[in-house]
Amino acid sequence: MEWNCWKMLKGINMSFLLEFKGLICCSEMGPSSSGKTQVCLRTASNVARNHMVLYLDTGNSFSPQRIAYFLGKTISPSSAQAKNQFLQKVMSNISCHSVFDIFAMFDVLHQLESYLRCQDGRGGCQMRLLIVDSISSLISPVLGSSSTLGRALMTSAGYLLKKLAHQHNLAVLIINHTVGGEGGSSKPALGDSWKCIPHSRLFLSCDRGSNTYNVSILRHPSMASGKAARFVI
Amino acid sequence: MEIWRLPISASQRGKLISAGYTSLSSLSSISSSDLARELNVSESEAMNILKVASHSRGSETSNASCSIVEGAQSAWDMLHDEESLMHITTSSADLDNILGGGIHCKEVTEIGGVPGIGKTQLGIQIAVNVQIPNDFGGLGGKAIYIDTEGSFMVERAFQIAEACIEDMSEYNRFLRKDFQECKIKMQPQDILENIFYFRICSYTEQIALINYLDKFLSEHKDVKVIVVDSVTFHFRQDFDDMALRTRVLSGMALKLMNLAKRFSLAVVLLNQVTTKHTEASFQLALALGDSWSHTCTNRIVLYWNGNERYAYIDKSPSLRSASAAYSVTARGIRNSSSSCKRIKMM
Repeated sequence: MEWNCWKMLKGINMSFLLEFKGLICCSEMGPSSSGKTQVCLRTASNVARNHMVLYLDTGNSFSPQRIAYFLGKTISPSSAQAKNQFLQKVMSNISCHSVFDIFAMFDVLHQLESYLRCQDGRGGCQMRLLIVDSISSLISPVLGSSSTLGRALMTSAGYLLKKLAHQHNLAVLIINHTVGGEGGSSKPALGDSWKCIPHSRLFLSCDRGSNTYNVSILRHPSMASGKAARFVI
Repeated sequence: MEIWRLPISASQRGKLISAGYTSLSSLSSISSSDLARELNVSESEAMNILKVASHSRGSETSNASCSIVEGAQSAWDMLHDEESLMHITTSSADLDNILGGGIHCKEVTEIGGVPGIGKTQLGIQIAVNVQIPNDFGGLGGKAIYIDTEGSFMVERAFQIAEACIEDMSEYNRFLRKDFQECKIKMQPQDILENIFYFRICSYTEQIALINYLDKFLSEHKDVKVIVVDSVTFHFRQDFDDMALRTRVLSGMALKLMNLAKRFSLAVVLLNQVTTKHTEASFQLALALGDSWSHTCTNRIVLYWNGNERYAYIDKSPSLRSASAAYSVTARGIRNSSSSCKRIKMM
């Protein structure tokens, strides 16, 4: 199942289209305040019109006000009651859960798996998008100590997310951070072991002076890496 | 193998695996005393392991029909909850405007700036302002002040508390001039009594305190703000193992987020600055590195612009980037344009 999620997101200023396949696990990374959460909120508000969305939030940064704002901009001006009904219908499709450690996230993913197994049997509004904001805050407290448990948890989390994406036709959007690398350049957090887990990776950055944001592809199964686009929030 | 999924310590996990318990179902039919004997641990530890295992097993099989996941809330409900959340005012109307009403509850706000810009003053002001009663538009709650640098001065807090009460009575007089003047019953001593002060002398104490706050907050449910001044101090000097520092800091940030969400309070972390060397130029950036900068919900940077103090919203999920001027006066944090007493309109 394919849909042009990014086309809905950015509107006009994109020079190319990114396609989210139904089973892709996509990881976004960028330095602090480069717009990652805003991109997630925007994607969630777009997908929630027709499908259900689960948002796993580690930093209390899920803002229903922002989602209402994004939705309000897209519908034509009508009566306040009709707008209210529309907001209620769409926003009830988004569920937000706060997770504060990696074991809680595993619990949530297992519950989600059993829910999706039942969901596949019936029709109606189905869950199509899972957003994890952000996975590096969950994994950094356990990664790097003398035991290898941290890395094991990280890879199992990655494979569980990929399994969910593949078996239940779910799109998974993961937020990662960047940390300082050698020579002052930034590199993605969580290291090389995490690099091979997502299917596609995007890098976001912000140009403070002109308040525009850049997104560039680092890895994608069907599009060339290195393509970039700019957008404004 | 499902044992690795349980949130227990590594040594307990190792003992379980070497004793042959590799999946959750193998723990379902054993009693805690047998388990304690087999693993050579105390009975309370064994009971803890069994409790954690049965909780994980229970959450796997339960299939809540009303929500996808236990504890998830829909965005529509959250929107309504957010509208009823109060903010903590900073006593400067310009600053409150860019913050969308003040410091938000249920979020972790990091405030950083150069020395002398007024971070501690802002921290004390917030600890006093959270106690403004509901009638005057405040939260009417208590405050926890965690001091790592020793910069909390009680006399200054008394001064700010007095000024706050004077402002409240002036507001009272202004608004209710037709009715009987109801005297403000609060005294500066009451305000100081409602600030719980902790003095931290090392980073282990800091970690221990954050872990202890869970129990403290369950006993004192009316605490509405936690101010940590400053979160950087014990992590800057003499920390050899940088990887340990990152782990400890991210774990601490997650615990504070958890506290903010569960007890519906605001967490304010004060940070220092450091110089960052990028592409042959030196820039001031907030301390503790890149990985820390991602962990808080909002970030406010305080800086000098000429002779004026400014605050700039660097990172926020729902606020626009903006800056506002403020000043530090004898009465606390106030707007910068006024040099005389101003009634704070709420």
